[in-house]
Amino acid sequence: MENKKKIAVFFGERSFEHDISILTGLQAFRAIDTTKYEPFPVYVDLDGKWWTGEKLLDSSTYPLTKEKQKTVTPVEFKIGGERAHILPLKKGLFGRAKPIYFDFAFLAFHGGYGEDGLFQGLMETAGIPYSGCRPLAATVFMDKIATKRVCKAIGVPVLDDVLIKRPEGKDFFDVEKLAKDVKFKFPVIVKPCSLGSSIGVSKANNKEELYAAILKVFALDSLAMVEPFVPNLEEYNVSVCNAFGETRFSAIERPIKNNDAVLSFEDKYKAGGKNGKAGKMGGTKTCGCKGGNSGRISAGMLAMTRALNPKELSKKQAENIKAWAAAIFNELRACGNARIDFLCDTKTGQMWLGEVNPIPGSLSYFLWEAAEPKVGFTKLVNALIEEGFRQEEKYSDFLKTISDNRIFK
Amino acid sequence: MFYLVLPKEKNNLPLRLVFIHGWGGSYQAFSSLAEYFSDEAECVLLDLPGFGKSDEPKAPMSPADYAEEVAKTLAQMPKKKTIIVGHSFGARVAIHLYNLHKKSVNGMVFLAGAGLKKKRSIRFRIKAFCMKKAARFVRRFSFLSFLKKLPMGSRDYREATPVMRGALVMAVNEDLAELAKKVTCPALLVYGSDDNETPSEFGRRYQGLMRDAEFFEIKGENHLSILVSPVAQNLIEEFLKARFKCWRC
Repeated sequence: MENKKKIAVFFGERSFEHDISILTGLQAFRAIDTTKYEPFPVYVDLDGKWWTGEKLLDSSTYPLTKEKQKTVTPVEFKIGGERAHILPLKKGLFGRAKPIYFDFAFLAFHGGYGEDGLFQGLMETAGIPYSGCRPLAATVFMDKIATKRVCKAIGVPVLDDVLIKRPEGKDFFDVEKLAKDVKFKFPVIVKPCSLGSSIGVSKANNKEELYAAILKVFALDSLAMVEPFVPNLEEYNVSVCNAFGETRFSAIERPIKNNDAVLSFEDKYKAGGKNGKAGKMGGTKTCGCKGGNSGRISAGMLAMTRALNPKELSKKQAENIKAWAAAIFNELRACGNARIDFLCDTKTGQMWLGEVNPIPGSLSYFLWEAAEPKVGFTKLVNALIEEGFRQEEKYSDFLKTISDNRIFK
Repeated sequence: MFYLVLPKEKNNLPLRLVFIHGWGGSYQAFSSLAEYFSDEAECVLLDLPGFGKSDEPKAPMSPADYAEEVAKTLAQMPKKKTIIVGHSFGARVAIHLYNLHKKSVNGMVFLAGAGLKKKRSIRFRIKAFCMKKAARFVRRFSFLSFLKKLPMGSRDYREATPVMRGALVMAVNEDLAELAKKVTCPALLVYGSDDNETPSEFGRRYQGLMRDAEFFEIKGENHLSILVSPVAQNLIEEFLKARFKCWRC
């Protein structure tokens, strides 16, 4: 066979979003074009241990209990030698474990250690090309304050905020004193500074609730951020990508709240012909999912929980969203396909940046399938891999020029 | 016959994709693929007679009968360049449709397409021979009611009604190798490496039989999961782009 590049697909990690990362990892794995690449899974468990093996592709393997650990192979990451690799930790009598070399690391992490630049830094040090943001952009994006300060500097609108730091080395402290700078009108929103998604975020309607919310954040993070509450709130998200040789945008999505009406597939599309017997449907057998969740949810199903390119957005608003998203993405020289979320007061039409997800859930593939021009999941993953390889090449070229600056010759 | 057309609105898309599901399936098998392609091509999703929302036929239908039925439905629609996308049994129907109405089929896509005979081991053949004899025995002594409860035949066979059993027997006894040789339109053959029902070896053989066919094997996909494989979706997109040009991106 021809020499296919070996791609390690990484997911899991010590993160609040560990399980979502498993889903994204398995989805991304299936989207890798096996006619071009040879993918294999590497799962980082909640203790930070690394595992590999075919079984990791089956969603019934999770959670990886002691019993199930026997079906997969524990590995360690070796760097500093000729070429970084992973090494199976086998206690066999015969011979040494065979190192597993790989050409590329596809990162499907969400949250701490994997999305926030730390793992990216490890790959940089190991000299392994990888997908998505470089460490700088990933770290800034996963820190809400840093992201907001950069936004402010380049004119992307953000909400005002007050930061509250947890006093060091104290178990008891006066929350009232800490919160004295919060001058916003109630209600306010309190969130941790570094965690993704909506973990630890709460709304406070009065002082007592504010104090409780701050304490709740301090259990997760040492820094709490208080922002004014946005009334008539809708969120609008867009994914940005430079991997196609130009800045491209996905469709804009508005996540649908639970109480909105949900359409069925047939409601959405025209039915023709004679309507025969109802009831028995072949659908259950043909869902085609391998072991539950690892399968792909149809884009149609996903479209039912979100509105794509929502009609209520004016052309100007949509343009603003894209322009701001591109500005923050390019300011930090980001790679990959970060999803950038905006908050909107639907009464006034005013918008602010919400947060940036360097590695969005499901890699936002459903937004790209609805983009103009549209991009299929496999095309997206291919592009992210190629972009990762290009980034590495740039860096190696740079290293070659360093030899002129040597002192010890 | 029940069918859906995507997009919902009247369109002047120059290309039509007709999706034909596998045995025991329904149009829903293709909902994610059809939705993806529906802004580039008009997508027609069928429920073959006896499946999904279509009524069961009065008498068992052969794959060729099914093809005629599909042809009748398509004949009511405005003329367009037409590509048949068949999964498993749907591929059998596609080959018949091509041979019966060459002019109305411009291309073919097989996802785990059936229609060839598996190369069987001697062990399997002996087993099959014994099972056949046993089945004859059961039929003859069917007054012994406990014999009726024995699980005879494949799962598809057991789950089917008497009429549909007849259709299934007609289908599985057909070897389409000779008809496949007459297929000259562009064809894309996509198979999963973990498929036990229509092994990827079928695709390789079809490629040899058809004049203008490309074969791809996707690692890790099986007989059903291939329907929602992003890689398969990409292969179809590339095929349509390369061979049927009318593509926007």
